[in-house]
Amino acid sequence: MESKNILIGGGISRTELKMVRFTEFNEVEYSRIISAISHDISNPVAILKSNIQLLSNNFSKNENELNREILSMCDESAEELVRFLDNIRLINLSIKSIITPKIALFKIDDILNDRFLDIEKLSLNPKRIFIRSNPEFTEISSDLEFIRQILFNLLTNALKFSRAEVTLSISSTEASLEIEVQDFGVGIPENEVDEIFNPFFRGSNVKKTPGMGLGLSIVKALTKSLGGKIYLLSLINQGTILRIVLPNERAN
Amino acid sequence: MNVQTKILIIDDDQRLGRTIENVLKSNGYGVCFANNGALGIQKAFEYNPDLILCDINMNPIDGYQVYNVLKESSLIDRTPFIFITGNSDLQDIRFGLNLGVDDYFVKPFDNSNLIRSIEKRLSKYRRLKEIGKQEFKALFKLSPYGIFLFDGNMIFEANPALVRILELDATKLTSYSIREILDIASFQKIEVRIHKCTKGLLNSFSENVSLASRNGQKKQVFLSVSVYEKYSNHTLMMGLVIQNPSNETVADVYVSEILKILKKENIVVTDAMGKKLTDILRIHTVKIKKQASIFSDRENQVLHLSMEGLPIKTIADKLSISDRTVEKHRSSMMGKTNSKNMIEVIVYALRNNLIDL
Repeated sequence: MESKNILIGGGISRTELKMVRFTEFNEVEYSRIISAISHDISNPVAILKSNIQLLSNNFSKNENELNREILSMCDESAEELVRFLDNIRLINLSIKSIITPKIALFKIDDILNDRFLDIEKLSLNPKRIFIRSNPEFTEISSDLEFIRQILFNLLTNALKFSRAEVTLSISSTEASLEIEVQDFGVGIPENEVDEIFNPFFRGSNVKKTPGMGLGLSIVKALTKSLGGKIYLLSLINQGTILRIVLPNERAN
Repeated sequence: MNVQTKILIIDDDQRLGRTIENVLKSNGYGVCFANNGALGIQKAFEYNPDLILCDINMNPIDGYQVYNVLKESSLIDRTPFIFITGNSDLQDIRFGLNLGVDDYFVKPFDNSNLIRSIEKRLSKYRRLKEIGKQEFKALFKLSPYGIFLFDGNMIFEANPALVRILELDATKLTSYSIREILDIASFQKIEVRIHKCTKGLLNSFSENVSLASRNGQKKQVFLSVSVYEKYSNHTLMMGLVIQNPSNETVADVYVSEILKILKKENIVVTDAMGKKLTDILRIHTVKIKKQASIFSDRENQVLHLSMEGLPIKTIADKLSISDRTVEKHRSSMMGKTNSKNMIEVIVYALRNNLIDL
């Protein structure tokens, strides 16, 4: 019961959080497969996307509602495919070490601006997210877009694999920014903790939930490129705490 | 009114080609679609497009080969060329930009972004064309040597220097054909080559010729002909006539002479004009002002190693610096070039001749 307390009672010491080691995987082979997939689906996706746009331009002002709904569903699905393509390309670039953050000074409050709340698009009821943002230092030097993308992936995962509330805490010191997402969901089997950050890997207990297994590998790629570390504590059917610690570039 | 802008699409995926065609047509462009590389090359000559969109991955002739063939021909070597690729790999982009391709489009794309990028390329191309024309006009008037424009037969325009050399009435010159200003034997010597130029088989040639005799004396001149501009049904060529050629340094003298005049007139020699000059003279390169490198030595080293696709760790080891320092150099380069990632930095550096491959 003690470990459960760690998860549920938010304020209790989190000494049990462990730093995640990133296991090796066959990067060359992954890269080859990703290149092949991204090449082969890019044409059909491009055709879909362009034609949906053309079609919507051809709609008259009083086009009937059903047609609009049909097209908008096509559009959303095509967008989903585009996002998938973007994601696997990002992973491929990270395998080849050619993503580099664009470091700039920004306000920590900017991370959660209105644009970020695009998360509503995901129909996962973002109202379940409780935000505790209490940064000691209000500004940080890092890559804002990368951080948003990390957060986006962490939150969608947390919402997807738990039905209860999800807590997001953001804190900062002079040297670092810490982002922590806690859920009370299915958890990650202990022996899969390291592998879960590899692309296309999916936990053995979530096979029935749809997904590609890309979210955490993107979190890992971006965190790595920002020089950050990932800490994790997870218990089956009790929940997961995932903490990202990113260095404040200005402090270095 | 404006003539319709013509775009050539070369893509072996019929559906994607038609899709892009529809997007462009609905935005008012004239479109020609070729569904393979060979046909694309043929259409480029027939259709004489203002811009070419070309897929990379095609069989048996791929996009790179199409680009190389078209670049060889002076008729379309300045036409903006945009690659469409399904691959966002560094390798591809590096290779393409090394070839001199204007832009890249990674599939899938937003229709409005495609149109915006095309418009950007076109306006740059039009601007260059306009600058080229103005420079040409200045050069044309001021040159101490004879210059004329002709379509393989009729002379459309001639500069004051040519009028002087030919000792003709300026008002009558443009009613002459090239045949009439040369002596018969000289014209026969170059007739085949002129014909080849009009057909796009030859870009330029030079020959010592005699002018048609006036007042009983035959003037020896050095004649250089270069294709100037290709239109859908005829080719405009530029002829350069130099009197009393001393075999050694005609071109040297000519280049320095022209540069002097240009300097005096405060005319900047840009890429396009410099190229035109060297095409004719084919000996000396007019020095084109290059942008000084904006990167530090260390940044350049990091950039070169990054272009080899090496991981950060290896780069750090090679340069005996830490991973973080490598990252810092990269960030600094991204800052300087306003890029989002290293690929954009490399693209920027290649475009601005900051690095050699």
